[in-house]
Amino acid sequence: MLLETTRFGTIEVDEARIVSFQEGLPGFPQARLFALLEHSPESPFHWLQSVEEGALAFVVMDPMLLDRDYLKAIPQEALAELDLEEAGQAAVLVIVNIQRAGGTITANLLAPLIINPQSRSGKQVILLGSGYEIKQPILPNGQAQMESRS
Amino acid sequence: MLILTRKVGESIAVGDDVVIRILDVKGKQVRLGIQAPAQTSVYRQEIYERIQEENREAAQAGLMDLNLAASLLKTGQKGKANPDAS
Repeated sequence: MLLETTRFGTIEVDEARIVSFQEGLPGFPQARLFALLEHSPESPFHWLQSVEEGALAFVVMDPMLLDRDYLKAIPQEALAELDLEEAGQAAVLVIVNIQRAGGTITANLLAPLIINPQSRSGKQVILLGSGYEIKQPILPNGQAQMESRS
Repeated sequence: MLILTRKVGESIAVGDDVVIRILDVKGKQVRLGIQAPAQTSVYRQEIYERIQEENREAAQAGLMDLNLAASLLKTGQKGKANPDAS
């Protein structure tokens, strides 16, 4: 299907690969359908583009790149809600926050997106008590010196 | 906002599936027990609001932001994005 998007213009997405968040995302309860778009082959990042709102998209990444044990923190109830038996069956992504002004890149490890790859349904889950940060720095020194452009 | 006064041990029903019980009061702290179906998420309000706020901030990322981030990641470290936290 064709999607009108702000960042990428008009793009073609495979309807069969669209992920459905039944309750939307916190802050965006109406945004239920998303398409996962590649950034570039070497990049750990992807775009999660809203189907309903062309201007809405999130940068996401695989949390395992930040913590190999991340799946252990995902509670059984969250998996069961998505008809998953174990964390290994889930597709897990975390939302990345890029703050050019402050020069930081952080990932929200406290509230991952858990997706059932078979049913293509997903939910943002808060890992209470896990000790994970909402703003987990991605670069090893915790900060990126990003030149501000324009 | 609906305002109710309850004593310790009394409960509040929200819809058909949610029951909130006042378990204990100690000074200014109230301990609540919450019965809800597994698929209903129950969070402390301030945590939920922080997640909402974080999502809203993150949603502002543009193409330039991501290209910069990806190139910084490449030059900043070879291999993994971040060593495992100690």
